[in-house]
Amino acid sequence: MRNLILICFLFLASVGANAQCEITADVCQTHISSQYLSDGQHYRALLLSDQVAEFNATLYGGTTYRLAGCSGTQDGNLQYRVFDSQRNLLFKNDEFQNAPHWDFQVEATLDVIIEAQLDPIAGASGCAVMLMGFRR
Amino acid sequence: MKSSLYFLLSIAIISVLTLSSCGGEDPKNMDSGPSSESSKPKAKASGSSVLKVGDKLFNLPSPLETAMLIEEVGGHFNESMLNPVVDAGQYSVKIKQAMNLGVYGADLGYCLIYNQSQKAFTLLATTKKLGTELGISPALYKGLMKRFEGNMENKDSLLIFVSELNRLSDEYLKENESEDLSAMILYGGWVESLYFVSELSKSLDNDALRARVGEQKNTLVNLIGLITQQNSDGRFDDILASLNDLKASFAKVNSTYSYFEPETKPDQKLTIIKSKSSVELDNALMEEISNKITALRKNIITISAS
Repeated sequence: MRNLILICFLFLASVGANAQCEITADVCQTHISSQYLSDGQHYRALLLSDQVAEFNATLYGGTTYRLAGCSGTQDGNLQYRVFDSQRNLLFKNDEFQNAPHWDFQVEATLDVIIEAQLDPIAGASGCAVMLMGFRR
Repeated sequence: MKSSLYFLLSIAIISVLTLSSCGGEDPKNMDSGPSSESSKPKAKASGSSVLKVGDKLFNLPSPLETAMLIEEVGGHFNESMLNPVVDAGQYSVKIKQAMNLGVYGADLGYCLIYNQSQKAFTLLATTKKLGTELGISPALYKGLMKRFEGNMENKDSLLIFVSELNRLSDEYLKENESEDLSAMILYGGWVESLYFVSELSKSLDNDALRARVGEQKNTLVNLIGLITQQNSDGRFDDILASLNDLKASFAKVNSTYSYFEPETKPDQKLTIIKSKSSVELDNALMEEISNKITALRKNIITISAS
């Protein structure tokens, strides 16, 4: 019986988290406009307020990338920072009202680390979704 | 017992509502430097339900991105590089189906870049069959094929449709806790793209192509990280062994990186990353990597005699 209760609990929590991620993904997708092709991947992480999702990528020279980061059902709930492999800060969206999307014009190929976390003002937990598009 | 069941179910419902409702407030600016961030706990890329700490998300380049480079440097369409279209049903194991979905997806992108829309449509039918076998909703493909048929002459639209299909398929698999299959699709697509570049490099000596091969050094590290996350039961041990062998070759690639301050243009929501980098690999190393990629691809596309 106890196991059954636990399964019910996990199932309901899972359904709720999934539903939230789907809504967030739909919100986020609107930021990858038709000028950009999606990289075909869907990145998400369930976060508590003190957690950081780390995202490793290689950005290729001669390409412009659009990064979109979202949480919840409206823009501005996710903070993200882009570092190079030497941990030099390249960009942080909290300087721009937690801009939900930003473009990166890359002159030479580099490896980056993107860290995303919930804006503490926005909530204590949530599904963070990041999408990436590109154009040459 | 009944009351405790109601109590726990109530907690579950409250948890669901808490997760669903978070993020609704207006954000305020926060300012904290990078050093303060790196000490925070890492969250797991989660398929759905369970939050685990310590894992990362890994990005791999889109096969379309590589196909665009091939076209830019003057490579001609070469049908012989494509994986021959076979009865997709012959790939009977899910892992194999996923890897070949990645391969055919890369082939599809390559055909589109060269305006080979009829060939692309045939490949789309193959990806539909493989995708459906993997549990991806047939409705995703049905809608796309209709749009595809109506825009056969419009390359830009077709590229958007296909990139969107790839993203939705990835989302679908992750929602259904099939992140292992998602990783195998990416693996197949990455190998096929790199196969194109290395094959073309044999007939076209081009710095950008050679550099693109060398630049996969870190992408390979990301790919190994991605597959390792899905390998708790050891079923990808063979693939990881092959990739680690390839990594040993990539370790010989000389790469440099110098940080230069980026320029941000807030009015355009744009940051120009001005850092410089270079990669160097000689002919012998290029051939070594190319041979290993060809072997990986052969393993993926070969239909087991069972």
